[in-house]
Amino acid sequence: MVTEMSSSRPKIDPPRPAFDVERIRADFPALRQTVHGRPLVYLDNAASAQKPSRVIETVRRYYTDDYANVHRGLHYLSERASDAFEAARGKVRAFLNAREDREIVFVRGTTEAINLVASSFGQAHLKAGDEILITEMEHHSNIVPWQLLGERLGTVLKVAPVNDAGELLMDEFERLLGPRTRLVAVTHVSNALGTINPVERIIELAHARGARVLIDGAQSAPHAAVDVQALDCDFYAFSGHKLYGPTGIGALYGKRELLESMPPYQGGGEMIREVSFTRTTYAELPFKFEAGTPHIVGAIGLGAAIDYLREIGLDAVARHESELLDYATPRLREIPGLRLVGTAARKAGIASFLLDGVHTHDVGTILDRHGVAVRAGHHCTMPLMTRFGVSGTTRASFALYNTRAEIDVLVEAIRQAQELFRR
Amino acid sequence: MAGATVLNDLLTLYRYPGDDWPRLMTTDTPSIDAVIAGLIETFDALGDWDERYRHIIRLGQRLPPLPEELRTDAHRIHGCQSHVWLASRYEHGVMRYRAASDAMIVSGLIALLLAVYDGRSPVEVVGTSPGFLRALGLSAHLSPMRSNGLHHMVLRIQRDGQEALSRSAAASPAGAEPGDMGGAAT
Repeated sequence: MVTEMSSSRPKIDPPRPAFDVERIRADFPALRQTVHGRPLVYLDNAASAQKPSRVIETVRRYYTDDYANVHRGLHYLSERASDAFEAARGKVRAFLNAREDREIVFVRGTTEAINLVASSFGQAHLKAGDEILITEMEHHSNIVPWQLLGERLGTVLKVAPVNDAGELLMDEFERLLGPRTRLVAVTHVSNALGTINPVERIIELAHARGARVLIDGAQSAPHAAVDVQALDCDFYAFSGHKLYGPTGIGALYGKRELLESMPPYQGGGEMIREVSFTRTTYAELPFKFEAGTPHIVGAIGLGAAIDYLREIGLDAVARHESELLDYATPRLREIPGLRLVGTAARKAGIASFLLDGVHTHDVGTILDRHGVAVRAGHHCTMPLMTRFGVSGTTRASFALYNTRAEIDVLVEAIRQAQELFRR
Repeated sequence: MAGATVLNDLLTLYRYPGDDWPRLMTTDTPSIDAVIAGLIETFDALGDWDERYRHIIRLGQRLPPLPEELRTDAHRIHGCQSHVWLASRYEHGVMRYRAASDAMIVSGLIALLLAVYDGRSPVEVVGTSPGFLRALGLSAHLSPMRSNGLHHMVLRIQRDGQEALSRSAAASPAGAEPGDMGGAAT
C-alpha cells in the first residue's frame, strides 16, 4: 500500500496521538455542508482537496495584515511578506527533504512545473531524435508538454505500456529505455487508477542509462511522505490544491546543478540580475524561474497546509487512506455489475469503476443527488482510457478526512443508481 | 392532465414508424407554449428528484437511436463529458432535429428539448428560450459550465434555427431550400 513509499524517510516528526478522523473533519469547514439535502460526501480528492481552517485563516491573515509585494520593498510589510514567502519555500523543501531551498521553484501547479522542465530542460539538454519516455498512465499534463516539445525540437516520445491491472510493464519499460532516452517522465501515482509506480526502480534504471527522471507527484505528495534525496529523482512536481492548500500554487523540485544548467522559463521582473537592451543577466536560483510577482499568498497558504499535514503525519495519512481503500474495495466488488478499473497490487486511495449498462456520466449525476462528489469521465487520461477500452470511469478518491461511513454512503448510492437505471 | 397527454404523445410519436426522421410533431400537435406548459405540469406532479430523474431516464430510453451516418464529428457537440450528437434539417417550413447521447440522463434531457424544438418554425425555435428547463427543476443542467453540454445543445439548436431564418430571408419569397444543416458552421 501507499505507506511503502515512506520507508526511506528519516523519522524526524515527533510522536503524536492516534489518528482521529472526526477531529480532522472538524478542521475542514466545507465538509459541514449538505448537498441536495444530504450531508456532503466529498470523494473527488484526486481532482482537488478541501481546505483546513489553518490554510483559510493563513490566507485571510496575510491579506488582512501582512500584505505587500516580496523581494523588492525596503519597508516593513514587504520584508515581512518576503520572510513569510521564503519561509514557505523552506517548508516545501523540508516537506520533500530537498537539500536546499533554492532547489524549490514555486509554480502554478504540476502542469506548469512539467511545462517548465519541458521548455527549459528541453532547450538546454535535448535535440532532435532524443527520446522522452513516459508511461501509458500519464495525465495529459505529462503527455502534451512533451508533444509540444517534439514539434519544436524533433524529440521523440516513447510510451511504456501497462497490464490489465493498470501496472507498468517493467520489462517493456526497460526495453524502451534506450541509448537515446534523455528523460523519463513518470507519474508516481496514477490519478485515474491509483496505481503506485515503482519510481525507486524506475529512477535507478534510468540513471544507469544516463537519463534524467521527472516524477509527477500530483497524486503522491498529498498522500504519503516523499523524500527526493532518497528517491534521487532529478525533478519532482506537485500541486498545492490537491495538498489541502490554495489553487494556483505548486512546486517544482530540481537538483541544483540541473536547474542551474537550464535557461529561464519566462522573462520578466524578479528573475533578472541586471537588464540592459544589449545584455541581461539572470538572477540566482530559484528566482531565475520565478518571473513576475509570484503567487505570494498561495505559497504562504501552501506552507500552512504543509504544517498541517506534517503535524498529523504523512505516515498516519497514508495508513488511514490505505485502510479506506481496503474497506472500500471488497464492498465495491460485491456490487453486481460493478467492475473496478485499476487493480494494481500497490494502490493509493483511488477506486475507479464501471457499472454494467450505466454510463459514468449518469452514475456521477445520481451520486451527486445523494450528496456524493466523485469524478466521472476520462480523468485527463484519454490514452489510458483507450487502453482499457472505455471512454471514462467513475472515480472515488479518498483523503485524510474521509470515513468508512462515507464509503457506505457511496456504496448505497451506487446501488440506488443501478436500481434507477434498470430497464 | 394536459401534461400527461403531451408526454404520452411524445412517447408514442417517438415510436412512429416510416419517416427516416421519426416525427415528434404533427400538424395537429399543440402550440409550443402548450407543450412547455404540459411538461411543467407533468414535472410538478412528479414531486421529488428521484421521480423526476426516473422520468427523464424513461424519456431517454425511448429516444429513437440516431443512425450511424449522423454520428459524425460535424454533428458532435463538444463540451460534454458524454458523447452528444445533434443533427438538424430545415424542411417544409419547420426545423427538424435528431439527437442522441450515450448517457441516459442526457438522452432524457435531449428528449425534452426535442419535444419543444423539433418540428417548429425557425421563428419559434429562435424565439423560445430554454428557460423552461428551470421551471422543470433542471436549472442546474443549464449552466454553460456544466459538463453535460445541455447549454451547448440549446445553442446549436437555436443557431441552426437562426441559420434557417437567415437563409429564408435571403432566398426568394418562396422560401429557403430544404437541406441538411447539421454542422454547417464552426
